[in-house]
Amino acid sequence: MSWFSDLFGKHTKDDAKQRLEVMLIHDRGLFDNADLEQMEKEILAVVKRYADIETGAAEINADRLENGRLLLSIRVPVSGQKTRR
Amino acid sequence: MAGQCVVVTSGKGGVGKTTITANVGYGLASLGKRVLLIDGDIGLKNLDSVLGLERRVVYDLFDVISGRVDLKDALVKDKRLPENLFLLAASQTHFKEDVPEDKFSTVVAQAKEMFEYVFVDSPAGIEHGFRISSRFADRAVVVTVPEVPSIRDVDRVVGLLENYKVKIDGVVINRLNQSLVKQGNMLSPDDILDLLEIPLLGVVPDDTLIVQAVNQGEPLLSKYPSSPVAHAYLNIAHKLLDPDYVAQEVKKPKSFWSIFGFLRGEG
Ligand SMILES: Nc1ncnc2c1ncn2[C@@H]1O[C@H](COP(=O)(O)OP(=O)(O)OP(=O)(O)O)[C@@H](O)[C@H]1O
Ligand SMILES: [Mg+2]
Repeated sequence: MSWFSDLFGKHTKDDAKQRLEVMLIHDRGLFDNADLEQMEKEILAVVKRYADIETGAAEINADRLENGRLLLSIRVPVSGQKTRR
Repeated sequence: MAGQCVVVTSGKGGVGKTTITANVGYGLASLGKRVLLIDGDIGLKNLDSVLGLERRVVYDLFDVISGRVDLKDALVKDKRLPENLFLLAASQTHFKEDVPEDKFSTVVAQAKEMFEYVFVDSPAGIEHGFRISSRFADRAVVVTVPEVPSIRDVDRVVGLLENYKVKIDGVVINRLNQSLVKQGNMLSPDDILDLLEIPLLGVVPDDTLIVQAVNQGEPLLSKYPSSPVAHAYLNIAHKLLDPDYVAQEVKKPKSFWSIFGFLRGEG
């Protein structure tokens, strides 16, 4: 970070807020990392029955919404549909 | 009379619990309520010197717990508000672990018979000292400064208080620096309220007057009653009495320089 952006551009409170959002989700024990991983595995197992997926590219995220609720989002890139027999 | 026990707690140390207990307690007493302040930081003594009562302490919490004196004989009367404000001091010769939960609970119950508000100034941390200070409280005031570790600790403490079924009156945001907030380099009260899911009780500005009041052994509220910080403490006292109370704007004192500002047309 240059002195220029230190002086003019940087709002460190945004960092503080973003970091706290993540910390509080974990601290509140809503989902810890192990839970999230296990959930991802189970969800992918279901999706795999219907579609060909790139397992490594799947992503699961927990974010806090404006109203304080939690938003779970899952991204699963699909490479093709499973052929029906 | 069945009063209410209010614990003032924070998780993190040094964020302003003792100063807030002294001044908000003083504020409620000045509004005509009968108030007892219990120093729950056993092993250390703080509340007595912030109130300037250190020389009048004869007995402490431990003398009451051990049955050496009755609660009413261990109380120190604050002569500035003699009918309304009392202190039960902490002991320096014992550790927090020496206080059994059931004994502390008995003291709180007796105190609630005698006072409308019984404040417990909790020690930092979430161990035994925090637990005895909080478990028997009806309500809680949590204190944070606008910094990441302190906010994180408060969130954790709120979870523990909920487990104890203590009603959370709200958070006091202490040591706010308005110009840092304007710069975008300090979390604003709104940011903090977005993160913590509890109501706001009040915002106390960062102010060196607090140090000066402590130096002189007077609660800021009695020493500098027209300062912005005093207004902030008094607003919190009002808000504890009535959650719908709308905080009065903290007036900026007219300084020497603001007169020049006026002359320059900034006024
Ligand atoms: N609004 C404020 N502005 C400036 N200084 C403050 C403010 N509030 C508290 N302080 C100072 O911060 C220090 C810590 O305050 P205090 O003792 O009330 O915190 P505490 O939470 O009780 O600490 P502990 O966890 O050790 O019990 C003191 O020196 C006090 O004078
Ligand atoms: Mg203290």
